[in-house]
Amino acid sequence: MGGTEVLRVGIVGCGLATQSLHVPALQSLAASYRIAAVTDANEAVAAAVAARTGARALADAFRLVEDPEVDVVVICTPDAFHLDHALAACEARRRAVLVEKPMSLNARMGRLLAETAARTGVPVLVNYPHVYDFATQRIREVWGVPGNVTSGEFHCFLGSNDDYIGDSIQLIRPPGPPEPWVGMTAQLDLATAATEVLGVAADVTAVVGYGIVLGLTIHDIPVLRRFAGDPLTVAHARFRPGPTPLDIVGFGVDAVLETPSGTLILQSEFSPLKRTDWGFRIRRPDLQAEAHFPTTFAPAAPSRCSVWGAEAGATREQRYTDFYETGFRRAWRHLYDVVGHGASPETPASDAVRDLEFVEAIAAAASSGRA
Amino acid sequence: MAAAVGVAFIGAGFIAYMHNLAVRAHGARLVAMASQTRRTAEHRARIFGAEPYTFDELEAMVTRPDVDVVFVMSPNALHATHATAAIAAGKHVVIEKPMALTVADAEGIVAAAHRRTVGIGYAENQVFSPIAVQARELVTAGAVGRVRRVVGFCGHGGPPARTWFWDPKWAGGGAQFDLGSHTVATALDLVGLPDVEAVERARLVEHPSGIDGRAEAMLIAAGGIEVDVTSSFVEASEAMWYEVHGDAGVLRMTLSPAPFAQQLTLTPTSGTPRDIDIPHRAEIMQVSGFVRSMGYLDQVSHFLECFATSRTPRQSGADGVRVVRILLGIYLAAGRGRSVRLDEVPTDRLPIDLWKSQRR
Repeated sequence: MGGTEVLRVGIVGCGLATQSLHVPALQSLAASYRIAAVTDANEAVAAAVAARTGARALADAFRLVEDPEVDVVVICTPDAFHLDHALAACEARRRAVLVEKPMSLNARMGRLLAETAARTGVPVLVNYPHVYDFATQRIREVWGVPGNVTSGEFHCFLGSNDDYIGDSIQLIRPPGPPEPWVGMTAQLDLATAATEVLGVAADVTAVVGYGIVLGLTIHDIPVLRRFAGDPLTVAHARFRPGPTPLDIVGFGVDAVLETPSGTLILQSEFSPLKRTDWGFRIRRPDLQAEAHFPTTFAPAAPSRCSVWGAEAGATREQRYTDFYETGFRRAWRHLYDVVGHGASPETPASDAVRDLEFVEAIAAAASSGRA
Repeated sequence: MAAAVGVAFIGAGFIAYMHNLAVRAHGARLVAMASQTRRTAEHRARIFGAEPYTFDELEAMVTRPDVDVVFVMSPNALHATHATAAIAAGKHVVIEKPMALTVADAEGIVAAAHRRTVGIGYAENQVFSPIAVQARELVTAGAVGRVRRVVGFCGHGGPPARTWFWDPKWAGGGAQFDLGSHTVATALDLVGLPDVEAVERARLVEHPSGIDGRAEAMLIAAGGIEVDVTSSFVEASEAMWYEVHGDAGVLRMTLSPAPFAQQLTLTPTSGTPRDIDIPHRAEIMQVSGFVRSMGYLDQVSHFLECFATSRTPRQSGADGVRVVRILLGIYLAAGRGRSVRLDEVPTDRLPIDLWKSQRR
């Protein structure tokens, strides 16, 4: 093995992201990882994913995170359960935990995970693929220290994930009709977490909007923060419900964020079209940069970026891409560096609390009409 | 300013979300909640922002000095034990429907609360919904003339799979006991709570799980009012509605799916239908307005105000006992295949047993 250790991964939750993103990423990193155990609320799905990956299927998520044959755990359960499983993985002293975004339903709950990670010493990383994406990382290398932003636009107009999944994988879905109470409970979890922040008199559309910020805008918040630096404030935000106000498709969120040096515009929307328009442009007096992300669920395409600067009396334009890289693959490579080489986590739970505070600030500004 | 009223929940299932939003909207504070397993208790308590307890640790929870009111919304079979524990700790109780599995258990809760001088709120939310309040006022004011008949329907696709609702040992009964507690209570409330003397007839359809999946019953109330109630776990989608038929017209109240489907329509015997304004209709796009539209908000406000001023709530322990007695009468009538007087109903038998032991 040349001295390299193969880490045994336990996967908690075998839904869309696991099957179409984490499993291919892990299998492409076979020198670093082996999928050792999987679990899912639906045993048939867990068994099928186990059969595909050569892993053991376990019936209970809490058993899996404590399994002595597992080194690192990835939490891909429904959002409301991320915290339970991540906390249990910390208590079980796993070598690292990768938790899907959002790590919790609001910042108060996120602080519980950050505190537990600190107390147990377990590195907890939040999976923000666009923080790890090649384009973001390359622009950060050129940009250097965060700050001095004069203007920027971060946008995510994303077609239905379901439309892309069929392109990338034969998804194993639970047999039988969906249990309606599961979806209803997920909505009530969101309403409970959102109204803790927005007040219970908040509009029902604000709960839907909170869900968009928590589920979609949260991809861009940590990317934006890595260029803007501190202080960063939400100056204005607005929910744009679609033709059917309680439907997430067509629902948009717009926000304006201020830094001491400039203004950033942040837009997210689930688009009715099968098209991904995801990326950002960012400027300071001596440098401009632009990033394009492919659809998350067709991971064969690379992200790409361009950077412009002054050189010898002219403008230098440089373009970068990297053929076989995705945010998910790079997140796993980073996690290997954290576990194996003591690298400092790029997206630790402690810092992700700040992301959730921005989720709350954006939703509160959009809900109240005030900054 | 006095500190916010402190609330604790026994039970952390679906209905806990509704009560939690109502408690928040009222300005009270949920401080603790209990569930059967530690995992569920911790999961929901984190989301709700409360301290978790298991059912085995109830004593510690209900004796907390910061808890003033305990909501009992555990599986039906545990209501009596859990309510009695909270009452023994000197706390007011709000008890989910149905109040207990037997008449004797329900009466025992009332007696315990009386001895300890604490209040009971019987959580029949539907009668607190603004639409039902409006409907009752219209009926009282004579909008349909002399009432002849009230029809009620509460149905959905059944409680969550693999939960206690499907196990007669925990639930006591099925659609008639669970949804039927609404159908019976609200139908009677709409027409001024006449005494019910007999169950004229009842038909229960057995679900493969052993409980009743669908139930139809006809009650005869004072003044000869027919009360025709249907309750179902086998509907394609949720629907809850009531009709009051009088000699001058029909009032139809569509309660659910709330809030958008809510509608109140008065059709005079000779004349055209007229839609009646529903109070608080303008709020339904707010979370608190949605919770209010199903009665949960005004219910909590009413209970907490009554507890604070030692008044008897509009839905109290006596109402819970009355509904349980009628429901047991329905199970007995279904089992016997004939009418049953309510004074014939055994006080110590479970609904499911009254139905199945008599059935041939």
